[in-house]
Amino acid sequence: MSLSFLLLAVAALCALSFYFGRQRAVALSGGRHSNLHSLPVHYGAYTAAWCGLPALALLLIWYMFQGSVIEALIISDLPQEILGDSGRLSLALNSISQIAAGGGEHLTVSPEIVDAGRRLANLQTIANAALVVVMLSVALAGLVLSYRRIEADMRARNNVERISRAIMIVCSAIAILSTVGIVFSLMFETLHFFSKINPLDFLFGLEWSPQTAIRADQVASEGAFGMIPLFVGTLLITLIAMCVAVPVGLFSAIYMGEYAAPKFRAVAKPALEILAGVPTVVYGFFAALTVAPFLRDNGAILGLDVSSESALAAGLVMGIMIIPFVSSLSDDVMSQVPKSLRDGSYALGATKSETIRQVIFPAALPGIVGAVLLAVSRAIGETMIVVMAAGLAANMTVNPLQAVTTVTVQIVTLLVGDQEFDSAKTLSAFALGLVLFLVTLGLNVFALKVVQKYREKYD
Amino acid sequence: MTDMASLMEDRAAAKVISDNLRKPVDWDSPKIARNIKKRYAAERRFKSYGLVAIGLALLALCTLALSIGSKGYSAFYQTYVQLEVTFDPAVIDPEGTGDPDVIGRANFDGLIKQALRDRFPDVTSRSDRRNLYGIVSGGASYDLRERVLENPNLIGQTRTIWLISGDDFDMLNKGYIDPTVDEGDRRLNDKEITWYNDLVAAGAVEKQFHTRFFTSGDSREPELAGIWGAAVGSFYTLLVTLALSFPIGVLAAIYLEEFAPRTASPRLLKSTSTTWPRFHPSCLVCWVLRSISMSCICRARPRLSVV
Repeated sequence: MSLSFLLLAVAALCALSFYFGRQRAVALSGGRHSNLHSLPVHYGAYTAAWCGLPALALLLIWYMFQGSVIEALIISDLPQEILGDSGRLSLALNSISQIAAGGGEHLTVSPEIVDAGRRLANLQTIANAALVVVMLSVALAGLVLSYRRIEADMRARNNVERISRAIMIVCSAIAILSTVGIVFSLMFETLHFFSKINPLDFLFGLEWSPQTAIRADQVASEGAFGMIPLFVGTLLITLIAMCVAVPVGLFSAIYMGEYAAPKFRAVAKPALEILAGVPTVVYGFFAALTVAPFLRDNGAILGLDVSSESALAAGLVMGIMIIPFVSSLSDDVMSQVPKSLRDGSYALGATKSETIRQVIFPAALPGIVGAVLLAVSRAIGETMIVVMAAGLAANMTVNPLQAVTTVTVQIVTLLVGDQEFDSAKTLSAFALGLVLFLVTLGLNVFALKVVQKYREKYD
Repeated sequence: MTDMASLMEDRAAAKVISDNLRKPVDWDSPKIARNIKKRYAAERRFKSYGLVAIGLALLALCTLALSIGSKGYSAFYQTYVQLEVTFDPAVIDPEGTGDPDVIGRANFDGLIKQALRDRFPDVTSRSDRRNLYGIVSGGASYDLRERVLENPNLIGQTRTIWLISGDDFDMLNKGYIDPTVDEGDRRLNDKEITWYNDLVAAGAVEKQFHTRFFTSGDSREPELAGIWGAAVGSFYTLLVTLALSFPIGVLAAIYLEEFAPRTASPRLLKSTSTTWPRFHPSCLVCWVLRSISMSCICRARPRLSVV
């Protein structure tokens, strides 16, 4: 029986138990709901929960342990000479699982392995059948037990509330723990990296050429892992992006919010927000195939030497991508400036632009700063555009016409393809990722704090 | 003494100011008129900045759409070449069994090559012939097989059939290969272009809507490749993402917003509006969930949802 079918069966049992629980409550009430502690629905939900949840929990635990238990059983029967050698053992386990899956005719293996493969297939069948039986009986037991506990004065609603709350706590825990897990996995790999490379060399090194020697006598075997050039490149591109996004976004927001006629707004605002909906890959090849050649050709006409993977192209396109981000955030912030401030300014005879520049903008400034910082953290973390449009060479330059590389690009190039996870080259990606994470998290928290200050002032 | 003098000066200045304030403003004076004119000019300037900004953003959008559209639209059309194909019974089904298995294994590629040789009888050298076969895609033989399997009566007949062309000829037909450049700088040599022109003159080259682009998966042959495999992959990814992030995200949000004890978790943000999340552990959570859910929500719907 497949998993989806099993889940369907449990769901059907839940529905059934909901019906039974409700019926029993109605029967116990003797036709008057006021005789019951809770509504009949709560009794139904109570039985359904006791039928479904333990069964699902069991399923989860079962799947967590099934693989390792079966593997332990198989390993315990393997001959001693295989067990001694970890390489041979994993090879044997591979062949066994291949044979169990019905393949492996081409394998030349000893009869013990073939036997083990058959045994594995056998065990898997048994385990699956046992799972079905155990799970359905747990569901049925839950149904019967909770059904029998239903009485007119049982506090079904409180029980259901508690159960739903427990479910929500579990969900929150999953969400929080997965975040923590991501951070920790980054951290451990980073520590691993720092055991090979001096952290100071990484944090303050001015040269980036990640490579590790395969042979000791190799030419250029010493890699350099200084992250400064990458961050300079990232900041350069981010700066260019901000030079595009902040003025355009801010002025669009002001015009949309303060000047535009409703008809114009109804057309222009969604049009602007389309920019936010364009996938970043599309921006990436727009930058690489349209903007970069355009800049290079026009630069050549002007006598400038523009690299065909210039920071300018990537930055400009990233700026375009961030325009709606800045504009819709600052639009929100400016529209939340109290009307009294605006009215006061108009009463003094200020024109609209004077009001905006001297009253609304200063009042909304913290919020706008927050918006810009959020946009910056987004630009720093942006990957696809720079992967396609920015270069790979880690130039330490602030010339926007040259190729630079960014942190995210390097992470991508380090982790694409087959990698050995014990070389500094691969591990450096995790160190870069951790630093990037800390920078953007710091920016986000800082931005939120700035915005919070503003809120306290005017709410 | 100097103190005294400066004090007197200050007093005098203060008196001038207060006199000025007391004096009714002459709104019709040229100075005021100039001032107002200046202020209105500033007003118009400021407004025009806003318009220019929106114009720039929309211009960027249009450029993006146009550049993607103009570069991409030709993928929806595919060049087809018309050939007279003889469904030779000796090749397809020598024993006349009519068995689909036998027909399915027949050498349809050979039929197409034969048709090309018949169409261009002057081409005799080995390498020229190999180039000649490039006019028709390697995938055309499968189309031919489908056609015969569907309609076995074709065996023994000669039909004029549109066959999907090879990628180089497709590029030539779409104008991406310039026949005027030096022969060594393009993917097609002069002879191939002569054959192509010959076919065009006979009306045997045509662009048709490229349905295969939507229905087939990856391929090494550009003319046979499609997006279906990638689309299905994206769909399943989206499905899994949604199934995971939607219930967990919503339930976690409800719990953290409505049930979780406030005292233990400092609120960094007193939030009454919808745009900003509360900052407690949930800020981190939001951060992860945002990146998970934004990727599907934002792609599906062109609206900006923040944090």
